[in-house]
Amino acid sequence: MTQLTPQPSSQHDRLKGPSFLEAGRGLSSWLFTLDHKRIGIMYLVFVLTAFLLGGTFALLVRTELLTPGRTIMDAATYNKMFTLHGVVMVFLVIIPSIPASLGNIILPLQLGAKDVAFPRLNLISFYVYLLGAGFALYSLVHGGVDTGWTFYTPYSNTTDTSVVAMVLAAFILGFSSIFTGLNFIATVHALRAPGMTFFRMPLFVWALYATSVIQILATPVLGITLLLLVAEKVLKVGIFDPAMGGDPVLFQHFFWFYSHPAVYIMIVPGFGVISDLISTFARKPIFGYRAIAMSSIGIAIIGFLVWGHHMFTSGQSEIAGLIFSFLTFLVAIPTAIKVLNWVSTLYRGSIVLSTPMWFAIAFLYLFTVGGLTGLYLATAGVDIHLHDTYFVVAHFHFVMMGGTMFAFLGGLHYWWPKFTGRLYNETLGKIACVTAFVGFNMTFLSQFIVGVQGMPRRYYNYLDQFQPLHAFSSVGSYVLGFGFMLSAICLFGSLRKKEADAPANPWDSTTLEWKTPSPPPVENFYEQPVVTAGPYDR
Amino acid sequence: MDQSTPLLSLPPQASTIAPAYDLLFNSVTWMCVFFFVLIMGAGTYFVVKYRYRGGAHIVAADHTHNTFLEVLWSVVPLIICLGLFVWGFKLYLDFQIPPKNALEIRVTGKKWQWNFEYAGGATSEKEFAVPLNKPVKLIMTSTDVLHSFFVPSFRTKMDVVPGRYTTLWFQATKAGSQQVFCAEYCGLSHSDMLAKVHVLSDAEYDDWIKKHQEVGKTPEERGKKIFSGKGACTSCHANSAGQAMPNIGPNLWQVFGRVEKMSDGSEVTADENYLRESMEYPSRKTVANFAAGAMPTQKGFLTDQEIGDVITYLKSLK
Repeated sequence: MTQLTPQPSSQHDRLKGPSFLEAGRGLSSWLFTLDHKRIGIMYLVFVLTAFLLGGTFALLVRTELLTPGRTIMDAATYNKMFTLHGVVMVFLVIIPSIPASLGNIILPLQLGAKDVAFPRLNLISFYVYLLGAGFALYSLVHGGVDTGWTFYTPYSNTTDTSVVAMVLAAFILGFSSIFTGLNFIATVHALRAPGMTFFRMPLFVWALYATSVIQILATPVLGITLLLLVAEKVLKVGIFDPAMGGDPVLFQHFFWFYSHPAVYIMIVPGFGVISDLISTFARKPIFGYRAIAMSSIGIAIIGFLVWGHHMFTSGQSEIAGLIFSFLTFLVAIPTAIKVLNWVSTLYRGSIVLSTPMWFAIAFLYLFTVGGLTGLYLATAGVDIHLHDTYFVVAHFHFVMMGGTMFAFLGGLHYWWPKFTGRLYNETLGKIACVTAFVGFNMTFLSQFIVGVQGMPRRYYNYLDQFQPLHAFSSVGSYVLGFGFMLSAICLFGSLRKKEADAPANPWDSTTLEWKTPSPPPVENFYEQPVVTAGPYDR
Repeated sequence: MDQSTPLLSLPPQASTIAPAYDLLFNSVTWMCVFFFVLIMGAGTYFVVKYRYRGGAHIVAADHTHNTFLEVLWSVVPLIICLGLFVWGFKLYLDFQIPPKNALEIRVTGKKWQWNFEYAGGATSEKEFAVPLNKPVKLIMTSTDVLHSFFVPSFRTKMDVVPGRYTTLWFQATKAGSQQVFCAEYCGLSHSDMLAKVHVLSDAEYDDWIKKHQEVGKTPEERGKKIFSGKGACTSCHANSAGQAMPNIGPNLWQVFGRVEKMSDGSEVTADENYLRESMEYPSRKTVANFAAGAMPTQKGFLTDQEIGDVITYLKSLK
């Protein structure tokens, strides 16, 4: 049990100060805030808005694919739709989703700190994110982009769509994520509460720490790559385009040197959320705490060395194929360890099936499918047939959407009462989770099948034989979208309540953020917490 | 269509490597099913069995680690992964290394058409032929952007890269036609960049080669062949009266001598020099209402002779 100096007897101790939501009113109190919780909420608003936008693109793509040939849009529009879906979801939603929104709000609370180490940098990172989003929006209304989110050269060099603006957007967004990463690393090293050793940190903090390390090491490579791309496109310096003496495969190496670690930037924070959720709702300390913490670090390191598995059919040498296939299998091990630890935590627990736990269990199913199907793609010979088909599309949606987004929603439902002070309708929350889970499986299990049959990705038109599965997948995507709408109604509906009704610790959790009122005061804790035990000890 | 694939299975096997591929693929599948059922079966069982039913929470609070178990489930997946790695890499090498005696066919990917050239000088586009039960090696390059040559029933795929050659080999084991896809996104008509591979008996193959060796005798006939073949002009340009599609570039019916309005407002008469410039430096003068940069340069791809042949053919469109 984490020991604290006496908790405030009433949750809202007016004598000691208001909650962070009531401290300061008006727009400027938000726009110029240095409070990590408010910055996190602003991030959350924009991440959810971007999620709505990216999701709309996805539904348009799926609707177009109901039938071969033209259904609702022409090929040029379709190519822009899937590109914008990818760019928005990767750069504006998944990468900032857990770290910049939930992480910002929760990490200092879990450490028993007053704020992050550099509050001003935190606010700057938010505005840099907005600037990047602005460039993305500019590109979107000025012709859009039709290169796919990977911007592969030389196609991205030859298309006359608004590639430069979009590439600059990704470049700027990279800085936002570097700033957040720096801030978290400094916060973890400098601002832990008295008694909180590294191995007393919640696993969510460990996961964010590992993610931050990847962010500050890998993101600059993407920045350089994208600048080189702009230099080639605008200044006509031959780097990637063979017509100008460049090498198009070099771009793929550069791009995946960032973008594979970026996959871990996207999923590792989700691992952290799930560790906290499973331990909390099983009412039991997490099984294999050190193994889970260390496997995050292991993934962060090996994850840098596997990028070539995106390029088994690019014409890279056999020896490169050998090394990348081997390292890819290695990175599977720490991932497997985590899943097995989560399942073991459930053993002889006392499992309370609250809404966040439903998302965590959905995550376990979906992420396990996503992880296992990764083995097909790591097996170099098997990847040959599956590469660039719908199998790959289904695999990474199982990991990114079934993994990260379900973890994000689980975390959002878990911490919602903490930072809004409002409880939501749990029945509706669970219905939403089940609906999204069913819709998700309809959408993407069918894509595994159609991919194995040889359906290439990024196809506007397709052979008639693939039509039934495509139609089934599209219907599934509507169910999935409906599930998320229900989640939104459930959560935002709770905000209509005028008074905060959430207790300090609604889920009977053990970590520090639950030892302070919901919503917390500006300074997070009325009195400095002192830690004397592990994060999940009861 | 000979490819009615049943649900939940790979396409029909039509190459020597396909059975080996399918064996490994199916082994991975069964292994994944086994571990999914094992892990998530246990997880599901725990959630049901240990769910909270009211009263005090009774948990095994000391159940926080178990060195034997943790080592076991690190080592067992590691061994399985190493096995998959070795097996998968051997298969990968089988895909990568063609037999020495393989028949060579040159393949060129060009937005959005596949062109083929055989040793004897025969050429074909959007379809090609290979002899049954003989190893065939494709030597591939692209004239513009990345493409990828994908034959699902042969289980093989290789990117096609401008400025370098990549190779792909197979030995077809089933007579008939198989579908070829472009698997690397290449722009507007990516999903229509299809081709057929016809697997023929030796006699049929020889006939095919002869038939495709007949090169046009007049410049106009040669130009016509380049227009729909090597040049792939028909991907973007219509070439008959009233033909609406494709309209990515202007309809070239009666183009010669036509006065075209350019995107900068100027007017240009389409004479020999303008047509040549349009092929070599397509972005210099773009006809109004068409996207600049949509057309790739043919410079260095078509010879002077071939450009002349195409111009002669364009003159004949009236």
